[in-house]
Amino acid sequence: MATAAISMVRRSSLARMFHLFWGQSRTVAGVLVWIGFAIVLAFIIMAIFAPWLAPYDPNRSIERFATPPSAAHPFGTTPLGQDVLSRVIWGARIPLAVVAIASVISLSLGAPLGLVSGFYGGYLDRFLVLIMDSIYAFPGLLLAVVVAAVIGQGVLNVSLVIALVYIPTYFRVIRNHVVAVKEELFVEASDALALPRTTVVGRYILPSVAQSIPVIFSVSAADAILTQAGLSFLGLGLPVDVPDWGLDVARAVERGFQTNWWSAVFPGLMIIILTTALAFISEGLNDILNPLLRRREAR
Amino acid sequence: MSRAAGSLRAYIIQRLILTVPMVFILLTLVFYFLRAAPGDPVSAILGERNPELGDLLRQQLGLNEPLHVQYFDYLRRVFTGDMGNSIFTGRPVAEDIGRRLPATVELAIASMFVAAFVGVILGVVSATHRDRPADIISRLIAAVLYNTPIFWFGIMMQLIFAVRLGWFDVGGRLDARLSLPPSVTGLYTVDSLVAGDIRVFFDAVAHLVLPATTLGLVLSGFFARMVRANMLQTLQSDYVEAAEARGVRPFTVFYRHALKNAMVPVATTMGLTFAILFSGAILTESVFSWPGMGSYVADAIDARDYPALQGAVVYYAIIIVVISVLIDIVNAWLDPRIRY
Repeated sequence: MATAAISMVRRSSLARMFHLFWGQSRTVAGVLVWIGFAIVLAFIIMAIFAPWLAPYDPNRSIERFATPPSAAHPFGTTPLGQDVLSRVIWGARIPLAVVAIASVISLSLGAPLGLVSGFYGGYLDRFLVLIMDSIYAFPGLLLAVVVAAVIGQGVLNVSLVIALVYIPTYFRVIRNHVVAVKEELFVEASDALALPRTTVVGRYILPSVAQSIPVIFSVSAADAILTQAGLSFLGLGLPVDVPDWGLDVARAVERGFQTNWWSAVFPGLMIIILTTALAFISEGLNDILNPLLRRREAR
Repeated sequence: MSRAAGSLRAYIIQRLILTVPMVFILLTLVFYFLRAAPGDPVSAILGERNPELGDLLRQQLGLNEPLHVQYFDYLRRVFTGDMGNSIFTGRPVAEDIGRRLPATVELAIASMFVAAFVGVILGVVSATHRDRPADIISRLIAAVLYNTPIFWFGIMMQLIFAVRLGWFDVGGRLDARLSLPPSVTGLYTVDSLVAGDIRVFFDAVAHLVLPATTLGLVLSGFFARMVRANMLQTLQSDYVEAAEARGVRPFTVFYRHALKNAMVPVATTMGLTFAILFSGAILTESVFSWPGMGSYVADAIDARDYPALQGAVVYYAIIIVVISVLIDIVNAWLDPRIRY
């Protein structure tokens, strides 16, 4: 009986979230989320189908050096004679791959630690919070730079570095959420029923906490792309001549962006469009999920 | 009255004592991040070639010692202020940092002004026009600003205002032909005014405008979001409603009742603001050749100058702890609830 009631509460919270989200598709927040999704999806498609979409080989010279945007090359060519449009299309692959790998790592380390820390409390909690807060207070790019300088370049290494920066973000939100959920009546009820702790966490706390994961993801993903681009720009990302937005901007600067602005402008614009789309998703989700900011119905 | 003052003093003392473990934890994390990572600085510098030189260099940097010996040696050196010599400049890292810190402070202060000014305007416009076109446009501007890669933004600023329009000089803090103002604060804009040298002052400002605007505008996106969110909350509060009911003029309600209270949570998140500021400063300084701590880090990476990098990070860690304590004290002063 009581267990049925508990599972009803749990199901209703997930159902409520879905309903809330679906019902918002005409509000500003809802529209923001949908636009954000559409753009991110377009970038993912662009990255996957880059070999078919890009008109030229991004790395080969086409013997037209540093030509401004034209009909044949809408984004111009680099001083090395590469087609900027093709490089920009291929350039989506590295940032998206890095963010995907890094987010999985951050989530799979930050979330369980947050869950354990919040649920058990005590000294373990205090210790973990102290360490996570110390990492969190440290400027993200600086942390990334220091670790990247030691472990070296490459997609996997950069992902690891970025994962490290965002573990505390997942940890904090999940831990605080668990601490809040722990106080709720249905958790108290399941304690009173002497259900095993694993059941309480797995069946009743986890689903409620899972709600916050999309928000953390969309917030940290935009930041992670900027951090990845910053690392590439500083020369800590990838070995030479892999098409990558941050790296391409750095190359353009080295080769004189004053006279061929197009090879710096377009990769940067791509970063802005993608990160802003992710920001739309997080802003919208936040508005929808944060009831404090919802307009007072009575007025 | 005396009780309140006493509790603030007690809070400050308690907070100052807490800095010791905080610094300690950050220093320990820095050490282990650098050591636990696969690979070591020597192979990063030399690659696989020249193993004999590698061994020599490892010996020199103390990397052959057991880890705990290295750790205590590192702590001893941090507390005696001896962070070793930079491979690239050949000078003690502490001296290099001391030289470069004022440049970063000057840039940070100027950027904060830009960020606060633009951010508060965007945030207030957003909050007072909720869900109307003005709100959507302000939020869009804020989102784009905050999500712009700062190095790219800096390059665009140079392209437009230095290369095309020729309004500003780029590179460094002062024209090389001008002599440095006598150092009082290390901030050229302030020192030149103290010395009464108007020409140096204008040149220093001309060099500061573009980097400070770049960093400040990116930060302003972050400010705008906070101001908007906090103002929406204060605008919904009972005291705002009560003020409206009393017939207080709308401007006064917005300014005195809503905005001022909305600024308190902005102060609490200043720690995060500084973290973003320092991250942004690395890229901004590197793009504008601004000779501060950020470009020191960027140069150290380029030169694989490991002692310089480690030293810079240690100083950053100390600065961050000091700032976070100052912010907490200001907050306790602003909001008495925190002290209890």
